[in-house]
Formats: sequence, structure tokens, C-alpha cells
Amino acid sequence: MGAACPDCRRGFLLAGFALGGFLLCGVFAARAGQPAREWQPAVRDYPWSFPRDHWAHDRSRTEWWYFVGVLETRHGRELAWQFTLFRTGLIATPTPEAASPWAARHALMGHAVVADLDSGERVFSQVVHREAPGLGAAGRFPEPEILAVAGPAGTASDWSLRLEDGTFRLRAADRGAEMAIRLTLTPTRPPVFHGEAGYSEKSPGGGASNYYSLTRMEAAGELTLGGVTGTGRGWGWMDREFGAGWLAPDQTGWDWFALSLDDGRDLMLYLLRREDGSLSHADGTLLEADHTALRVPGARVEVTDTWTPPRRIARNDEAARPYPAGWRIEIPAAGARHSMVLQVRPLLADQENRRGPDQTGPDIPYWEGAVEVLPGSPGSPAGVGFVELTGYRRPMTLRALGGW
Amino acid sequence: MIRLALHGSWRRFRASPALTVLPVTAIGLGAAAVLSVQLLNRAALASLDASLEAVSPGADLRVESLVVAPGAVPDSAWPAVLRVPGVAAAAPVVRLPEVVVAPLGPEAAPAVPLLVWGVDLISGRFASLGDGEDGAGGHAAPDAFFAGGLALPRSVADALGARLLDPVRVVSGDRGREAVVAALTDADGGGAGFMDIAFAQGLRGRSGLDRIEVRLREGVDPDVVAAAIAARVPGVRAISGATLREEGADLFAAFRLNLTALSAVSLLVAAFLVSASVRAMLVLRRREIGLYRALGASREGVFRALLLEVALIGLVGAAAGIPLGFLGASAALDQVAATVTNFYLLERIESLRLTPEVAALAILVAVGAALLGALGEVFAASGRAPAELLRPGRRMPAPSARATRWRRLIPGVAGGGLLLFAGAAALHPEGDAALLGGGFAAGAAALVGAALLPRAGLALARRAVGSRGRGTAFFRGVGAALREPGSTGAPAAALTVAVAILVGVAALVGSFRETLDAWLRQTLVADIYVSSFGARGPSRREPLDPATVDALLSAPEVMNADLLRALPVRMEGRPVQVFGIRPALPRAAERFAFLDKPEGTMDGLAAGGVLISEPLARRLGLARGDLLDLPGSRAPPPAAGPARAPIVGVFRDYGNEAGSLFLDRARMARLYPSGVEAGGVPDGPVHGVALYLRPGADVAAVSARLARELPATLGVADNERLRRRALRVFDQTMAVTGLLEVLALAIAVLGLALSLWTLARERAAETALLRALGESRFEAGAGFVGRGALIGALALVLGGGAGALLTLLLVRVVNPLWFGWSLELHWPLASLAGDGVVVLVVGMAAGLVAARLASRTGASALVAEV
Repeated sequence: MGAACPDCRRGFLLAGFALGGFLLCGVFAARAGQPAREWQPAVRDYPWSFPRDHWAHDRSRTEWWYFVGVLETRHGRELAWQFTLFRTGLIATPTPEAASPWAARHALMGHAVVADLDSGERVFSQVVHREAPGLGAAGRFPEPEILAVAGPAGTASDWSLRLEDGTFRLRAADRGAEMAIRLTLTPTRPPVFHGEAGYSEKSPGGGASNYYSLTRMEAAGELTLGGVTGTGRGWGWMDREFGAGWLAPDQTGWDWFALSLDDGRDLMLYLLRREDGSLSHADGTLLEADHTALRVPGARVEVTDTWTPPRRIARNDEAARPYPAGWRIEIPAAGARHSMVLQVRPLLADQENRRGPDQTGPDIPYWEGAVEVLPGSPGSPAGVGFVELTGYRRPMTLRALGGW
Repeated sequence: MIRLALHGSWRRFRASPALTVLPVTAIGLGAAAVLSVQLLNRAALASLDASLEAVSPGADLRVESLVVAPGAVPDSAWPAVLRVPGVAAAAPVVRLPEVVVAPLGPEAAPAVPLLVWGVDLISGRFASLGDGEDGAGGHAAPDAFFAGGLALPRSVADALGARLLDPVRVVSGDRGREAVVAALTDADGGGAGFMDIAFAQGLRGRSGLDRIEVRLREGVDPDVVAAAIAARVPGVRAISGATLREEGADLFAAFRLNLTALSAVSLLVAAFLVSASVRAMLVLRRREIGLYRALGASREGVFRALLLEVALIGLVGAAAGIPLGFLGASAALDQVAATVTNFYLLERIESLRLTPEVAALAILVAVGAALLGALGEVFAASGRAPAELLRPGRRMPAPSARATRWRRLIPGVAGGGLLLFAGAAALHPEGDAALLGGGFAAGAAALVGAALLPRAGLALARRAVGSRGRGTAFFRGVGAALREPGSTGAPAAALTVAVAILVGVAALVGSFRETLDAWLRQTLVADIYVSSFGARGPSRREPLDPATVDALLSAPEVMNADLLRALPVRMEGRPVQVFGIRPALPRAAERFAFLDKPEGTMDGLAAGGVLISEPLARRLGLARGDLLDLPGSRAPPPAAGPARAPIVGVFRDYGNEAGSLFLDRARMARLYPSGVEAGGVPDGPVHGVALYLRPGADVAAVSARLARELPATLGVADNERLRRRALRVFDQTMAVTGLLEVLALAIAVLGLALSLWTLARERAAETALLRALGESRFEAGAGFVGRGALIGALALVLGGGAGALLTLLLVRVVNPLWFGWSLELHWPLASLAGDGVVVLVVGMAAGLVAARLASRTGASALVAEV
């Protein structure tokens, strides 16, 4: 492979971070100081309307569709998967000078993972493009397509999310990485709204998102890993947030839990950290088996184990902290509800999403993986779920992400 | 030994400064010629590299349109390329070469011109903002960038007095807008600016990409991916950077080789001069060398010490030649830049760079040429026995008779053989001998052969006319020269080579000029030409404003008009001009000088055929009746891929060596949709208008009026003026060649003067004896003028013959082969005769130097010799 411009090589490392920092900050952070005022922030008492709200919200600077789950194939393989689409605003008001097909108000980003929970084989892929013809587009309700974005370079097919007949259809493929996701997800429960009727506060300064989830969805379809395709059934979870940005300047990352418990309850919990590791803000929702949603603001989370990425991977991250790799979560009793203690531990140690050498796009490592839940006290349930950990390798701030 | 050499050099300089100054000057001039040509060649290659510059790190392929025009790659190509298997990343690029960034404010700093890249930073890391963006310092504002902001090199921002988020005015062509400084990069002074691709297209005023840079997955075959891209995206090609560079370098290889060959000839002639000077030096220091040998210095030791002295001459020559060469290149830069820009569609050459390696090359060739020239003489001198060297007298002892015969015989035979080889090549332009080394092998054989012949020529002349040299002192000198080919041969060889070059190049240039003039007279049939041929070169040609075209067509004096559309395309890696014309005009066929019969060509053109130029036909091996794929064209549905057209005529074209082809304008508009609004003008944009005036119209007056009334960016010329301008460009292009030619002649004359001066010193005793016997000072000097005249005449005969051979080779072999041009042979007899007189006169003038020395030699010198 020839190098066309040696001088450019030195520069691009930083320039490459530039975009990654920008997009993920747009997606995750949208922190103070950015001109978010032109975008529609999260709204209290948002008038939820389904299925319309599964589609994109043009005036939101940031929104995402976060699908995770586990599929058991006919041959008994347990495959964990993740399919996430992000839409982040570039320009609130289109500029007339940019009379170009590439003039875009939004950028689209996709993350996809398939992991074999038995062998430990795991592939992460990502795409990122501006929302423009041939590269990606947000669909308009009631068209079935919610979002589509061109696949990774060298892959003919798009990544797409559709909703047809009440069933979500997820498509993602990466020809180079020999990975593909073709799943249908059918909700079995109504949406659960987090925070106050879907207005989820993230920081004391007013940072918030409109946030709902679809838990315990029935999943079916095919997953391809290492060129081998497995067909099967399983479960899935969707998190959906939109707004104009919600992290405070001192918030550098978060731990997020999506747990489906054996007793029919589902638990969503997040903890936002400051740069020194102290807790900045936490909230959670416990969805009872009868679909009643209860806020659990007083959950206590204790880290019981850690995992450090191998040095060959994390050698450039001088300030990297070990990832938590085991938790003791205590949900206090409230009203008629008994307290419960959950022991949570990863099903694979290394479930970090990081860019491969042949991949383009931002390189923002974060941990996103399947976990198992064990009873931590008598009467507490077991279960399965997913955990997301951000800001451990690099703080999730604009400045540290590369300067853009 | 070094001390000995330094001491020797100093002694020599003290004894006779001319003996040092002359070879140093010759070597310096030769090195200067080589250096300046190398500098110009490298600058031309650098301009090529500038046009190849990549924005994306590690790009393996570049996708570009077969049509050479801004934004010619369709936007849809980017998503298509992105989906081709094997592609790891694809970065679209828009290039705005002439953006002017101006600060805002009452006390604003001057505006700064800047190359600005339109890039996509959304799709990932495969695009560069340049060097040194320091993420921690907050030197970027992403929101501002994606909202149309400009990333500026810090040096440019400093020059503008602008800081991050300051507003600036950005102008490209006739479009401009305000933008904020969205990032500061630490690229070097030559750094470019960046903006989002959408805003770059907005600033240009049209969609379309200039190229897509592609990185491949590890282990993927680039050729396979390139073929897949070309198959999926019609009208583009995918090519590696290395191939692009090769193509570009190949584009003007002939031009560079031409200059390099001429500069090498200067150096070769300089080597002859060194030979003469070393011989003179050895004559001066014969006894000194003998003394060293008698005192025990070995042959090898003396040999090395003498070579070291010569190497010092080379070094000093190089030291003088390097600045001289740089100055020469600087002086020629504009002309070469014009050639490169006009003929090869490359970026403009901006500046010369004297790199250490070019300087080292100049030193190497200077020292090498000096050593080469001196080797024979030094070897012979160091091989003499001490007793021979210490013998009284000033002559260098002659080698043995047998050795002398061999020394005369071998070069003569070799020279004859080389000339025969060159002659065979000239007589059979398609033969193997002619084609060896692209015709340059035969050319070199003619020159080297000519250089080897003078001794044999002198011997032949002596046999023919005898060498008694009866009559006046002048003719006695001629006879003496014939008798002593050893002393006359080297300068004669140098002058012969110079004359051969002079004749060859003069005849080539004359032939070319005559052919060009005849071609222009034949093909410039319209009365007035209006065009947008700007200083930016044909690839940057902007179409005429439709209102201007309307005004021209409706002018009362205009009877007919042809509307020309120009579009450069890439055909097998070379830029080829596609022109659209109106074939139905009266006398339309007269605009072309066809290689074969012109009948039916215009009908064929109107029926969908193409006319192609001779260089293109030669390069592609095509002839009338063959079919040609039109690169970058869109065949009408339902056919897919490029359109194909029959060749209905091949015409001579001396304006473009890469080739050109002509289509019917209407057909061109269908095959190459312009995408540019052409107003009310039918069949697309117009880049030139040829006006045919009504009978009796005053061409000069109409031309002058149009020049006054039309925008200054347009060129207006009547056919006579256009012809003169074309010839002026030709003369300008050939000026560098002429300069090098004169340089070679100057060095040769210096060598001749030096040789005769040496001879005068050698013959001091003889001259003194003659003076003692009553010869006048005038007579003593006239002998040397006679020698100079003989050498000049010999060089004229031999060099003239070799030059004629060289002319045939250049006209019949090199030009058709390298440029695709067939030229009519034309001998500029008057000019050649003038050159001949000059050579004879300078030959005799060189003899005057020696004559002056001889005339001062009195009888007392006889005493000094014994």
C-alpha cells in the first residue's frame, strides 16, 4: 500500500480524532459552550406519540436508537449483539451558500457488534456519514424506514432500521470484518418512560433527554460472525433518547445498566461520573412485571471487580482507568417493594468497542457488553442484561477527545 | 599528495593564470548548463507533484474523471466507490486552487491567496487537516467548521491577523462569502486551507468532485479494485499515485531529455577543453614533473597528484557553475514555465529549489568531466621516463610512432563506424538502429563519431593537399596544423561537436518553424479569433459569456462564425483536447491540414465522425476509418459506456503533442453534457469564436474594435496576429535550446584558443628560430591564425556533416517518435552559412590569442630552450 503524502500522515492522527471527538461529543455530551440553543432541547411533559416517536426528530441535535440483546442459535451458540444508530446535528439552520448535495444538517453513525459468548470471538464495526444522498437518510413516518446509512467502505449494503407491522427490522453488515446482523425485534411490552414521564435529567444544570425503552423484545433472525451465520431466537432491548445535549461540563462518563430479571422485572440504571471518579448524578427505572414503572433514584452501586485492557491496546491512554467488571447493586425497599441486591458480572471480560486498524471513523473506545445477574441476597432475582461504560479509557469530554 | 597537488595548482596559476581560468570557466559553464537544466527539470517535475498532491493519508488509488474539468467527477461516484469491495475508505476532494482570504475590519491586513481543499471530515479519519493540530489547546471549533468555517494554516492566520472564530472573507473566482476561522493548523508555509466539502462546492458555484482518494484493505489487488470502480462509475478511472506520477513524467520526458542532452553536450565540450588545458599545463611543467620522477616519485604518485589537480579544477568550476546555473535557470524559468503550463497542462512552476543533491550532482559531473578530459594526457605524461621529461625544449615528448598510428587509427575507425550507424538510422527511420533509445542513441552516435574523426580527417587532408605549407605564414600554419594532428585533434573535436549541435539544432528549429508557419497559414482561415485562452492554461479555460457570443454573432461585419468548445479529457493517461466545431460552415475543411485527402471529412464529421490529430493517431496507432472510444463521454441510451466514433480524418497539429480531436458541436453537447448554463447559445459552452467577415470588411479595424469592447480577459486577434503570436511562442520555447547551443560553441572556442596558445608555447623555440632568421612578428602570429582557420574549417566540414545527419535524425526519427509530429525538412541555408562564417572567424580569433604570444617571442627564447 503506497503512502501518498508522508506529511499528511503526521497530521491526520489529530485530525482524525477531531471528528471522533466532535461526533461522540455531539452524541454523548453536547456539553456546555456549544451552540445548542438553536436545537430543540428535551421537553418536560413531552406529548409522546407512537409509533411516530420511533422515527427521527429533526430538531433534536442528538438522538439514538440503541439495540442490544442475545440470540441463541439453532446450534446452541449464544451470540450477544449490539446495533446502534446515532443521529447528531451539524447545522441547525441550513446555509443557502452551501448549494451542494453534501450540505447536511446531520451526521449519522452506526455501531454494530456480534460476540460469541462461548468462544469469546467478537467483532465491532462502525459507520459514520453525513446525512446526504447515497450516504444516509432519516425516513419520514409512516414510511417503514426509520434510518439508513451506507455500510462500512467495501460493503455494498446499507445499515438500516425499519419498523413494519409493529416489528423492528435491523440490518447491518461489514464485508471486511465478515460480520452481519439481520434481526427482527418485536416488542412485548409498551414503552417504558424514564425520569419524569420520559424527561430524564442528567445533570443539575438542566441537562436532560427525552428517554424511553422497549424491554424484553422478542428477537429472531441471523447473525454472522467470522463469516459463519447462525440463525436463532433471543431477546432484545431498545433504548431511545433525543434532545439537544445533556452532560454537564464536569461529567466525564457514565455506567449504564439494562437488566432483565427472572421475576419479570426490568431495571435501567445510570450513574454519571465526574473527572475524579466521584458520582455526579444517578437515576433509574424499575419496570414491574405488570408494566408499572417506578423510579429508583437511591440505588447503591458498588464495584466488586475491574478489568484493564491489555497494554498493547491501551498504550496511548496514559490516564486510562480500569473498567469496572463486577458490581453489587442494591435497590432499597420502597413502599410495598422489598429491597433487592444484584450481583452483576460480564459474560466476557473484553467487550470493549474500539476501532480496528482497517476501519475509519472516530476511535472512541467504550465498553458495551452482555452481563449476567446473580442474586446478591436471599429473594433477589437472577437475570441477564447489558452494561455500557464510557469515559474510562479517555474522558468523554470535548477537549480530551481531540480538540475539535 | 594533496599538498603536492595544491602546490602544483598554485604554481600553475602563478605561471599562467589563463591555464587555470579557462578550464575552470569551461567546466563552470558546463556544470552551470547541467545544473540549470536539472533545476528546471526538477521544477517541472515538482509542478507535476503539486498537481498530484494527496489530501488523504495513505491513499492507494485516486479516482478522477476522464474529462479534465473542475468538478467533473459526479457526486454520485462517492457513494458508489465507497461500496466497491476492497475499498477501506473513500475521501471526496474538491480543490479550490485560487481562494483569496481577506480579513474583515477597518484596518485589515492584506488578503492572502490560498489553496483550499474541500474535504469530508464526517466519514472519519481519512482526510487531513494538515499538521500539528494540538487538541488540547482548543484551536478548533467544529461547529464553525461544519457550518462553513475555514481551517487555516497558523502562518496564514497570523498574516491576516485573524484568530480562532474571527470572521474572514473568502473569495473564489467571482464568488465570495464570509466565513469564520474554524481551526488553526500548524502546517508549513505551503500549507493549504480546508473547508467542508459542501461549502467548497458552494464557493465554486457548482456540484461535482475533483477526485476521490481511496484507501484499500490490506492485501487487496489495486488493479482489481480499480477495474471494479471503473466498471461501476462510468467516465472515471482509478489510478495509483505512482502511476499518475509516471504518466506525468512521461508526458514531458522528451522535453526534459532534450534539455538534458544539450547540457551534457556542453559538458562534453568542456571536457575537451580540459584536455587541451591539461596538455598545456603539462607542457609548462614538464621539467618539474621530470624532476619529481628523477627524485623518486613513482608513476602512480605523479598520476594521482596530477589527477588531483584536475579534480580541483573541477571543484572550482563547480563552485562557479552552481550559482551561475541557478541564475541561468532563474532567467529561463518563465519560458520553461510557460512551456510546461501551455503544452503539458501542468501546474505552474513557481520557484526553483537548489537542493543538496542537485548541487552534489553538479559537483560530480564537473569533477567527472574534468577527470575524463584530462585522463589521457595525464596518463601519457606520468608514463614518460624522467630523462624524456627533463630533455631541453618545451614540447611534450611525442609517443612512439607505433602508438601514434594506433592512436590515430582507432578513433578514426570508431568514429566512422558510429557515423555509419547514425546514417543508417537516418535513412531508415523505422529501423532498429533509429528506434534504439528513442532515436537519441543514433544522435549520440553522430556526435561522438564526429568528435572522434578530426585526427583522421587531418591525416586525410594532409595526404590530399600535402603539409609543406608553402606560401605565406598563414598557410605555413595550416600545413603545420596538418602535420601535428596530436596537438590539433582535441580542439578540433570539441569544435566539431559544437558545430554539429549548432547545425543540427538550427536546421531542426528551422524545419519546425517553417512547417509550423506553413501549417498556420493553411489552417488559420477565419479572419478574427476571439478566445478565452488565458494565462492559466487551456485546462482552466472558462467559457465565453453567452451575451458576448451573441454580440459577436450579431456584429454587422460578421458573415459567418464558428463556435468552438474545448474540453480536455484523459486518454491513456494523457490530456487530450476535445473540440466541438460547426462542420457545416463554408470552407470548413480548410481549417485542417489533413494527412490524406480532405474530401468527405466534414460530411463525416457532421455524420458523427471525429477528426484526430497526427500525434494522437501515432500514439494510439489509429488511422482514418478506425473506431475511437471517446473517453468520459456518455453514449446515448440504450448503449452503455463511452460513445464510439469513426475517425474520418487525421490532421497535422503542432499545437499539442498530447493530441486533440474534433467533433461536431451538436454531437459533443450530447456526448459531453456541460452542466453549465450556456444561455441562448446552442450546443453548450463556447470557448472560442472564429469570425469570417463579409468581403471588404476591414479586418484590422474590426479586430481593434472588438479588442476594445470585449472584456479584457478575452483574447482577440486577426489571423495574421495569431500566426505571429504562435511563432513567438515557438521561438520562446526554443530559446533555451538556442542558449545551450551557443554555450557549447563558446566553450569549444575557448578550448581552441587554449590549445593554440599551448601550441604557441610549445613552439616557442621554433618561433624564436624563425624570428632570428628574419620572420616578422606578424608572420609569426599569422601561422597560428592559419592553424585556427584550419581547425575551424575542419570542424565546419566534419561538424556540418554530422550536424546534417543529426538534423535528419531529429526531423525523421526523434520528432515523430517522441512528439508525433512529421516535419518538412528545411535547411536554413542563410543562417547556416552565417554560422559557418562565425565558426571560421572565431576559429581564427582563437588563433589570435596564440598569435599574440608567438609574435612576442623573440630570439632570446631560443637561448632559454637550450
